[in-house]
Amino acid sequence: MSYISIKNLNFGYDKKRIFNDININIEKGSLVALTSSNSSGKTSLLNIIYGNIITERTIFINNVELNQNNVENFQRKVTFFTPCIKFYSKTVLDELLLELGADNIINKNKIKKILQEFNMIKYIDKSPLCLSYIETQKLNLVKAILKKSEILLIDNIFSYFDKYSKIEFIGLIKKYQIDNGLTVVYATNDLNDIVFCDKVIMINSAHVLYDGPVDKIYLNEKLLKESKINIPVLNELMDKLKLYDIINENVCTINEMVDEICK
Amino acid sequence: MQIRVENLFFNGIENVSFDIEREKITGIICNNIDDLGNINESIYENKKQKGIIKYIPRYNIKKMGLISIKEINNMIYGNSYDFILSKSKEYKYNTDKLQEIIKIIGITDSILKRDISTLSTSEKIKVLFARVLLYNPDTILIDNIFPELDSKSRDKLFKILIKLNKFEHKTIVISTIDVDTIFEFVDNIILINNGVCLSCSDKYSSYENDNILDNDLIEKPLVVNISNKIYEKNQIKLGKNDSINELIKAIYREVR
Repeated sequence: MSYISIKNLNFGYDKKRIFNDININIEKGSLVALTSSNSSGKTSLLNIIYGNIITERTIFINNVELNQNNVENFQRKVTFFTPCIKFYSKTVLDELLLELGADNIINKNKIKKILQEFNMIKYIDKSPLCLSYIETQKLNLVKAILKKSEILLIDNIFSYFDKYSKIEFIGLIKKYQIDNGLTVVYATNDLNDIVFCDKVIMINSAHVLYDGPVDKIYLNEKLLKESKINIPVLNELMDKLKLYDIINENVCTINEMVDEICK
Repeated sequence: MQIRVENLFFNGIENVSFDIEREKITGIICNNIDDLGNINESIYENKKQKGIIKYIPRYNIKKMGLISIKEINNMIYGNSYDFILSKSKEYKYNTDKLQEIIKIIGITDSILKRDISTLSTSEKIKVLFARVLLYNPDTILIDNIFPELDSKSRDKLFKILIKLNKFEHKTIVISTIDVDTIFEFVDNIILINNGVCLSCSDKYSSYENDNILDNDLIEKPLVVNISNKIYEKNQIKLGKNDSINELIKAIYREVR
């Protein structure tokens, strides 16, 4: 049974139609990538799921309709990651205590332990405004863990991560998702970012173009062209080399590609 | 505008020196996202904790245009049309070219009328770009916006930047963590690693010193990497290629 259901969603801004009668089901405990070309509605869809934009009789969480009356309760179970997130507490410790309620030794020790795990203990008495972009996103993840969020909605935050920090952050999310049966939906326009997901939903021209496992996407050239999303540069080169008959086999690494070229 | 940075210290940036040549397209490649933001902020606003930033001719914020994620995140209120006009009105510049710029960038009437808060990030980038072009600065700084754009939007943006550089002689600085995105389009590359400048030269020379690059785990552009590995394996020189299409032509010519 699906945990988040989107039923017959129609939505647009002004005269522009963003979603035309779309249906999506997301299972509990799954990690789902939402991908499309620019301005196809990734952020809008996350905002609709979160309840920032209320659409009648379209979003169902555990078969219960999300509406004006229950949206606040629902949002308590969700953490939303956006690129422009900011925290205004005096210190990182104060910010995290907001999630645990009481300012006591047990809660402080709990916070210290988790900050140590995230390699952020040195910031405990610093202002969250002093944190770098990546550390701010990490702090949001720590908050999500303390808050015991059931759903993470992630809106294109990896655009501002360097490669190694991205791998580290994704590893943390994946671990937390598996350990706690968390449902994660995250938006990206980069195929490099979807490999670790359980499934991919691809939206194009107001419709769901693809809803299925990750591995089938990479082999579907027609789908990739139609979706206009960014494919890894190695894949782009491989496709062209095959087109000009310079290589015949699929390759996954630069060394394999060089071997194929020099055959 | 030429910008000469000498022994700059700013936030995490430590003792960095480089030259941004006038009327060239320069890429700044960092392995760290915060360094990118700090360098752009420092150059755009002439901010530093120590060191010298020389602008030739002298520093004038009206001659600089910044397109960055920070700017995009600060776009909150009003409709797109008023936002595009805002800087030119503030600087008391004329706005005759508005329609032409809107057409070049591909901003639709629907985007112009909408409130900025309802725009997608890529639409906000277009609107911010239009505002910068309308007040017509000498130097345009572009800070790591490419991950937000799909390949079609990227190609379009690069075409506009190349025209601005070639025909209107703008100095263009593009900073990113992903060298493959910009390698084809830039003249020079400045490589910054953990706040330290590793090289500042033409784009091919920047990736020639294997000792420094390997030591600092700097990734080379894919086209350079493949050329080098083919040379190591078969001693075939593919020459200098900056794009996938050029590389394929060279492979076809030399290897096949």
